[in-house]
Amino acid sequence: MEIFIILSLVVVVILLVGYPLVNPLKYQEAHGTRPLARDDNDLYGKREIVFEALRDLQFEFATGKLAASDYAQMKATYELQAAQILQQIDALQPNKSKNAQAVRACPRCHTNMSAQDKFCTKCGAKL
Amino acid sequence: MESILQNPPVKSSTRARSISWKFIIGAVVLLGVIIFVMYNSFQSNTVYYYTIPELNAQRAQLAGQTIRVNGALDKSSIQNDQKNLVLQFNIVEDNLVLPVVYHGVAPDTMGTGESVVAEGKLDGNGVFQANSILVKCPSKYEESQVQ
Amino acid sequence: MALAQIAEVGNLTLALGLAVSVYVIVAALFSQFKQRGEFFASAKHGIYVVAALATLAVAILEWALITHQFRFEYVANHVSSDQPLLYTISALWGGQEGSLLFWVWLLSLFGAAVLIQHLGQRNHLIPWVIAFIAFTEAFFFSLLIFISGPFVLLAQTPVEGIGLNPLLQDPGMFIHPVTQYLGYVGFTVPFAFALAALVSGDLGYDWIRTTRRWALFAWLFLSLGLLFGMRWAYVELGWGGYWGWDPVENAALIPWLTGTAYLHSVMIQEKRGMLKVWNLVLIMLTFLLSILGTFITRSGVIQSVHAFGVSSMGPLFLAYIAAVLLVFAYLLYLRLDKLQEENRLDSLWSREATFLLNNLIFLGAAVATLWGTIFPMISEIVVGKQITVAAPFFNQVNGPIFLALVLLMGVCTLIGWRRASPQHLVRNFLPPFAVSIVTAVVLFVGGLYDVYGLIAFAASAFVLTTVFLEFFRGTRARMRMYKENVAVAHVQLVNKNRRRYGGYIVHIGVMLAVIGIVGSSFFQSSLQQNLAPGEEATLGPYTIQFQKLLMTRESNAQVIGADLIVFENGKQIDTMRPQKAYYPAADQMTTEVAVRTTARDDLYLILAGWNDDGSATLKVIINPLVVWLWIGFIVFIIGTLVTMLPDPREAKARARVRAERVLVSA
Repeated sequence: MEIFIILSLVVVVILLVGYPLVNPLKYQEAHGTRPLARDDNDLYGKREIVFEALRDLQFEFATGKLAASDYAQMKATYELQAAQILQQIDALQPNKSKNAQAVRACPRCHTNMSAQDKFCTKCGAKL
Repeated sequence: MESILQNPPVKSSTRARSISWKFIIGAVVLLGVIIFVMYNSFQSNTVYYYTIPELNAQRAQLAGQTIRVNGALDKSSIQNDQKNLVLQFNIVEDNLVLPVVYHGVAPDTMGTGESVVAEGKLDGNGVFQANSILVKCPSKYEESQVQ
Repeated sequence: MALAQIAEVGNLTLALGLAVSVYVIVAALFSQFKQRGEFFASAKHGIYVVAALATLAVAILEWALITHQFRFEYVANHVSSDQPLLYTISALWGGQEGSLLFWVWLLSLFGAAVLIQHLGQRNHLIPWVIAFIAFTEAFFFSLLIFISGPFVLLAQTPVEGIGLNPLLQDPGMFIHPVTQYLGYVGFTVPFAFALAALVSGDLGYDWIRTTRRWALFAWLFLSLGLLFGMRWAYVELGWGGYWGWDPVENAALIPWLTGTAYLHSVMIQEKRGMLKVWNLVLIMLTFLLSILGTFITRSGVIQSVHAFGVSSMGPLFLAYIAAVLLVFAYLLYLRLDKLQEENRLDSLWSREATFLLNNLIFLGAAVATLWGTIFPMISEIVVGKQITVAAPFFNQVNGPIFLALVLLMGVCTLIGWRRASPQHLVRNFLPPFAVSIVTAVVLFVGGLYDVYGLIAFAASAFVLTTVFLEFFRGTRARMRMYKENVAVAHVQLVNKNRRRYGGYIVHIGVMLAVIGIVGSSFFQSSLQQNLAPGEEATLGPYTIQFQKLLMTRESNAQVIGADLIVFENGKQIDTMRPQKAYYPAADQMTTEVAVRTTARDDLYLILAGWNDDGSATLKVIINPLVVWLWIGFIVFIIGTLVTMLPDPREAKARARVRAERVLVSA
């Protein structure tokens, strides 16, 4: 009785853990361990950070924590950064046709937006 | 996009460097203050721990100093005056007996305790005037501290 | 099935748990080095299997506890047959072996939760994450197998168990260890991701955002653990306070301090790409301090005299901590080039600068508290003599530190990200400053002459005003920008900036708690008196009249209570009954205090003793404002929950980054 329980527990554990090894092809692709595209400079992340910073600046200015001159200067700084990062990302993506789908410009202010965006992150225009 | 072209931002690296220097100096000063406060109050709040034989040997030097002392509790010696809240008992080690007096509410575990850690001062009559006692019981969970 | 066989099965689950955990480490690493997906899948299955095995082990022990199988040593030591069911269940985490099992069980569930969270997502950090989680699981399984086993059988079945320590038989103590452990264990997940980020070199945008809510979750439960622990000490330990700088309390506070520092400094990395190394170090410290906290709490190493050698777990815990520290330091060294800062501080007058300062101060408080807590251990190892550090040390050091933190909390609210201009700063500073001066003057005129109390209350007023102004300005800005009405603007302000305004709600909670702490520590008054039936004692506005002693019996205890009538300014307001209970099974007495709470103060009564002549000795304590501590905690928890709500904007941004990186790699 005791032996039976112990053996069956061990066997169940081995089966559960070992199952993918018996059937490697099925799991090779589905559980891909391949890393995402190398992003050594964390460009995509930086882009999101800059967009967020621009939003933040606007709010901080609206709540009276930022002087108008500081606001204008810092806004310009971040916009320049955003432009540079978007350029670098463009250069990173070799396939231009995919690229055109992934990133498009805002019709009003010409800031580059990703395909998923419904509104411009800078001026709010409908895309 | 025009605004970017018109307003090239001035990124002065000397300014940034002076900011980080100021910050490092501020941080060092702050840590210095914390360490100073720590050192200062550490001196006055460390309490040395003695066994009864050690206390007996250095009786003269230790009188009047706040120390901690540990010994087995002699249960038969416990006298608890509940009206005036005076607790008296003896602790023992190597046949040396130390009488302890504690003013306050007796810990709930006093009756079942095995040993006691008392913090306080030795007075001129060889009685240990405790200002806090810690009763240690057989099981590791049954401890209670009285302040 | 005989008892011995059930114990065997219990031991087997632990052994299998260890074996599978070790296998998961190997398989996950192998899959990563050789790009073998099937081994990764197998490792993932292993994580689920470990969760199932740990659950089985917990179920077996819980079954033994509930059905009073006293042949189990653990059951005999922690349960008695007259003990209420609730505390029979909670005996699982009432002792060392059970709580170590509880720890590894929670971790195994968290491991499975991480996998479920990432189902169908490609995230190359996961193999490293599960390898580290499995490593930690293996460590705890080893402790359970080789040091202190929960399934050890006694040679003979005792008739009755010793029972759970009566002090722990309190609803607060039922819930406190659970929350505390959820917090301690929870920090394993963000730290595992931090390690994974270091190993993979992918140190940028993703890992911090993936683990943001895990860190908040762990931190929330550490806070809840502190709350329940303090509440338990207040109502159950019966000495009139809630915090005594006891090593076990400190062990819970220290990771909370570093965790709080981490939650603040990650915001700077998210917003500015700065402080990358610092954040990694902070999460490492928080995790290791959680492990150390588990060890201190569980082994009683510091409280007990000369116990360090006695507990064989000590060297193992130290070895685990040292191993993690070394690997972490080596990886950090390897990746230093990837960790350069993207930005510098724009200005000393920026929120970033106040956050940095806040980090230093939090770390200072953590170091000071840790130093005082482990000094007895260090002194015993180094000079062979235990030197303890008295409670005033912690108050003298942490008092000014916490005051500085409170002031900083106000200043940081007033200063925006990146840069503040002087004239705006002055304009923003003036109203709260004026409010705090007025508060101090009013209190002084009202008869409050304690300098520390005045400073602390003025500082609280300052911070509360800054936070209310922040809400006011934000709402006004929204009303202007989006043409919303006041109510909508308020809700939307918090809803659209959950993290920021949730954080402010947390700050309001902290300030209410500070008011409670200051009130009850600087203005407490007390009185001890022996009363014959009919006699009265007076303290402050309260007069207590002793009626009679009363004996009652509960299921597992004999209870003696003192019937009291309470008068306030001569008017009868209430009756109260402080008690002492005697638990025959454990041969132990506990004090059950009577507390009457109002917004102004707590009347806290202790029955200190009784005499044959029918008189009772009472200790009467008035704890001003202490209720605000508990209210503050509740506000604090609500605020934390708001910050934990999913942020749709952030989720979108992360999905975007991920999708593009998959696209490019395809």
